Amino acid sequence: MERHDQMLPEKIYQIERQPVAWNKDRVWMEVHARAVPRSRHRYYYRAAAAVLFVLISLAAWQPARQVATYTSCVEPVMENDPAPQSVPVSTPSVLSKKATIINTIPISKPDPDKMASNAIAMNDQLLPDSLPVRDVMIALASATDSSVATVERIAPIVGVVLPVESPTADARPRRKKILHTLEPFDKPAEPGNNSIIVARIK
Amino acid sequence: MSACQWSQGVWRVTKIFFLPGSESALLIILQVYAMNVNETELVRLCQQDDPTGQKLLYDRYADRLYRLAYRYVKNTAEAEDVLMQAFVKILLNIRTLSYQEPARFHAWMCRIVVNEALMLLRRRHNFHLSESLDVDNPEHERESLTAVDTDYLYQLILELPDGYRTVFNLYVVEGYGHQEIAMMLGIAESTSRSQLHKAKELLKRKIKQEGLHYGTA
Repeated sequence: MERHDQMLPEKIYQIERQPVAWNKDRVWMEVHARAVPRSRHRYYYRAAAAVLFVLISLAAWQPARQVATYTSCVEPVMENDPAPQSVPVSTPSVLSKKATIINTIPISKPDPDKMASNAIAMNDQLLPDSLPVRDVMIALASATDSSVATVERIAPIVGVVLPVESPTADARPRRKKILHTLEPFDKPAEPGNNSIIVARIK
Repeated sequence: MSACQWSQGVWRVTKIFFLPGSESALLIILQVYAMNVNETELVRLCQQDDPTGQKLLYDRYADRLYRLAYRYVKNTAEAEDVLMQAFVKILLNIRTLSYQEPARFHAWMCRIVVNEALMLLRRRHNFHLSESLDVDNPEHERESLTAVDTDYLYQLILELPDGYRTVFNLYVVEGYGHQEIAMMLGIAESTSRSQLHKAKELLKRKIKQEGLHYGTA
């Protein structure tokens, strides 16, 4: 090819590099449908998307479930733990000069259901309950459960009652002296005025 | 797995949760990434049937190959059909292609597009090219078409008849020899020579009619 003809293709190529409007996307859709094979890993992509969706759902659901668990944590603890607890007991050394003796006394846990039934039996059924009896019993049981029970001998109250003699006001009111003596009824009454004799005054 | 495949996997998984409108943002990001992909990597991705690589290849060469197809068929709809058929063959045959250099790869794609265009022209016209009298050495004419404005010359080429235009494109633009043209079109070599001569004469006449100077080399 002559030299002048070699420049012509370059010029035509330069023109063909310029953009032109045509249905580029539509042609690609047809090419893609005919030539591009479906990915062998498309099922893996969909499975990964499903797993990701499940994990996100669990992560969003778990905090709500924890809040519901916290509100009812007392009830399952009380119901599922009937084993008795042993509480250490110490005797006070005020009344006894002997060394304190530590004894372990098994204390059974209060049964809230029994306590609730007894409370209900004693309650006046006509009066409405302000609080559920069972919840009150559970609160009481939980309160007593946390405290340490101690056995102490009750010291007697020893004292002497002394008469009070003081110029100050006496607590006892002075008794008014009776000026008249009362006579018995079997003694005949003196005739007198037309009055009802109740008592003779000496 | 390469970085492109990882990004493609992540994009395809998250694509399921995205609305269609937001896919354009991801496509823009991929296109920016695609601008930095060289041709060797692009061909390797296409040989592995990677959809992203195939789309990148299409976006990079579709415009130029469309203009090439249009120069032969001179019809928008037929040029799109030619390009679609050609790209299907390119994507199917690229798996067995031994890639050497970008220039050869581009020439290979152009050859496929030209063949598809010629097949369509053969179905349309059956190439009843008139075998006129052999012209003695038509290359002796030294008139040069390069002095003419390129855009105007391009328009004149498009206005040529199908036979003239096909032979002119194959010989002058694509660089095929008359023997190869004769085999491709199913015509005699002399017919190819005469068709080329007639095409140049027609271009020369039209240029002179416009009052332009038809310069010499």
